[in-house]
Amino acid sequence: MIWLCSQRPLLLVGGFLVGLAFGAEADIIAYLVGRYFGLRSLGVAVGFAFGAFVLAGGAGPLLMDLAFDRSGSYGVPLAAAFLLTSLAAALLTRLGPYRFGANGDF
Amino acid sequence: MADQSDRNCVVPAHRGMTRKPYPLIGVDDALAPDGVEIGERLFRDGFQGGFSCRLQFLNAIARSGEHVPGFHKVRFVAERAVPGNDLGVIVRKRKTFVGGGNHACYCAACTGVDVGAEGLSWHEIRLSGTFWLMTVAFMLVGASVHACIIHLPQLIRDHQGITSSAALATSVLGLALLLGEPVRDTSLIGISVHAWPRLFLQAPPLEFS
Repeated sequence: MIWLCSQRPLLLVGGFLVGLAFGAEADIIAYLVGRYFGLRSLGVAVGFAFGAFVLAGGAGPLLMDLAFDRSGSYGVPLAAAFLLTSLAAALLTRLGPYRFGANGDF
Repeated sequence: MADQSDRNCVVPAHRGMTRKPYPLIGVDDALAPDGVEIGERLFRDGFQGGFSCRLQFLNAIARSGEHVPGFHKVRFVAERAVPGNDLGVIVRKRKTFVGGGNHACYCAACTGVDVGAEGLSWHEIRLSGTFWLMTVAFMLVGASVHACIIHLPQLIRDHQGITSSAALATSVLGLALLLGEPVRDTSLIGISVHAWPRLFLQAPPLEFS
């Protein structure tokens, strides 16, 4: 949306959606890990998943910079980000139902 | 505590739980709750936990090696038993239950490692395809969203050539980032939007027992 639209309101909507996604996504890791794997090893599992998330978050801007330097435009990295996010959404739909209750019980 | 030490312990309770380890004491002598069965995690009929003094505990194990057939998992639990409780119920309910006993003070001093929660072990999680699916998805989203957030002002400025639009979009992004959390909690966890002010302003007091 940010790349395809040049109208100011749509740009703001694009920025709003990016912020909304990040605000909702970062802390959901602990919740999902708890519901799928229980509370017994929650700390280790969340630490691993969140560490991977943060590492990827550090690598993402760097890769976008590299792509911009190569192509001279943000079009390619934005398209890649769109595809990667869509792929992530598709992967998350394959997780199946929760295995544990909200309190860690079966 | 007093009756327990009189009945079971060689050493008085206050001496056994504090500074001086008593090398000759045995675990079975020190901790012998009645009618408790824990299975393989239990060595003989005593608990693996219960001492507040770890040195005392280790000494007791070393001095009675013949009573320790299997000792590979030690967990302490926060759920302590009091005299009169049916400890077997707790043990059957909690698979990882090892500690406890009637020594309430000992348990209170050595709790905090495991609360007996249900769930998979880290080894099982690591071998689970679901975990890696989830982790890869989070990585993809993290890389994409971080890249967009970091480059958003530059993106908009290069695309539209207006700096004020970039600044405004960044502000909107920050606002949306704040709104993302209540939206997530409302849609997923079920916390009502009306409850959010109460969560911030009236946090439940911490309880120490």
